Amino acid sequence: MKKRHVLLAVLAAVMVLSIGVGSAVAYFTASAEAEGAIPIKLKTTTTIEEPDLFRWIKHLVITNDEKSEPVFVRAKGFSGSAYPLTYSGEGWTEGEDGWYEYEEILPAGGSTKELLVGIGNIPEDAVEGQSFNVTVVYESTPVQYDSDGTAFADWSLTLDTGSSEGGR
Amino acid sequence: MKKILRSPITLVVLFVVAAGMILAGTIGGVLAAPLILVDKNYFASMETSDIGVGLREGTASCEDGVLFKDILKEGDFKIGKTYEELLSVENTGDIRSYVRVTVYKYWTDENGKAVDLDPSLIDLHFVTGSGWTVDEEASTSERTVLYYASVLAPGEVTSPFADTLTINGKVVKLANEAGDLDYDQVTFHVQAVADAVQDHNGDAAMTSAWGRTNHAG
Repeated sequence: MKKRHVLLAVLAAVMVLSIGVGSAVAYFTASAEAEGAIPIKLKTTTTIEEPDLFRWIKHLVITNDEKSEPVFVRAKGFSGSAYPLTYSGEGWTEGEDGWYEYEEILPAGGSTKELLVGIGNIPEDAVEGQSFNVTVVYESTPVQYDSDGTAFADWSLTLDTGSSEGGR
Repeated sequence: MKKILRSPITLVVLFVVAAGMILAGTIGGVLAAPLILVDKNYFASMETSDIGVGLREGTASCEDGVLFKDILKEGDFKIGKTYEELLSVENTGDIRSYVRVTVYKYWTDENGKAVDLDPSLIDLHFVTGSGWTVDEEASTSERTVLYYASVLAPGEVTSPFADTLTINGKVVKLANEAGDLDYDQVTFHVQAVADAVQDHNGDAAMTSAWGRTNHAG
């Protein structure tokens, strides 16, 4: 009986002391949170248009879709050595590997000025059944920026391509 | 003495006292406020300790929890451009505290999290060596945990833990080559969570709250 009383008394004391234990192991803490999110468009869709061949010159216009990211475009023709090609057109300059690059950024819904691709050595006395074919291919790449914010074209990231054929 | 201990009355008294003390400890806080209002003759002012922490972007507090305000002011976001993004932590409480930051970076598309896109393409440049150290063991490509070495006084602001943000241009190609997925648009996210603990008993407090101290290896 005596032991039981002592145990109960100790138990009561532990209960009382346990009130303080809780606050002794609790620490002040706080937290704060912030978040930012920015959407970026990645899709590019471009089309090439070519009116009828006129005087052996191809007139090419490349258009960027309304919902596309701004892009850079370039084009290149293939005709075979018998029919050499010449290029001209405002805003178009010769780049690497025979590509002709449009200097300006093509915004969503924007179009290039005409790229004129002249076909040379056309035989004046072509006969029935004689044919040749000229193909112009083009590529687009999304506009990228360096750390200073200067735009550049990274042609290793070409996403959209197309072509236009013509001849006789 | 033995008689007193043996008495059932003593036992009852002890329990009543214990219960009374427990109740008093609980009720005390509740009664404090009404006493001040009801009895104007008896009042007591009590100074409470308030711990607080906040995030800062540039020189402004992120009280609304929104980042990238300055970047968005610049117009269309440019992939590859390096934007200034100074992020720091401030002590908004009235006690000294230790702080840490956990930063999450991830991509989403219209269907939710875009797990095919590497979070490391979101290049938030962390500044270490000026008080901040990265917990490499707790960090992944998506999550970075940084600890600030010094105790932060009330009102004090840390040195920046991040200073620039750049989206790597590789995301354009990766987004279009990610298996069968074809991303038309993705959104990058940066989420920062700042934590603070009291500096009193600092090591024990940090270990209790964070599982480690700010100076652990």
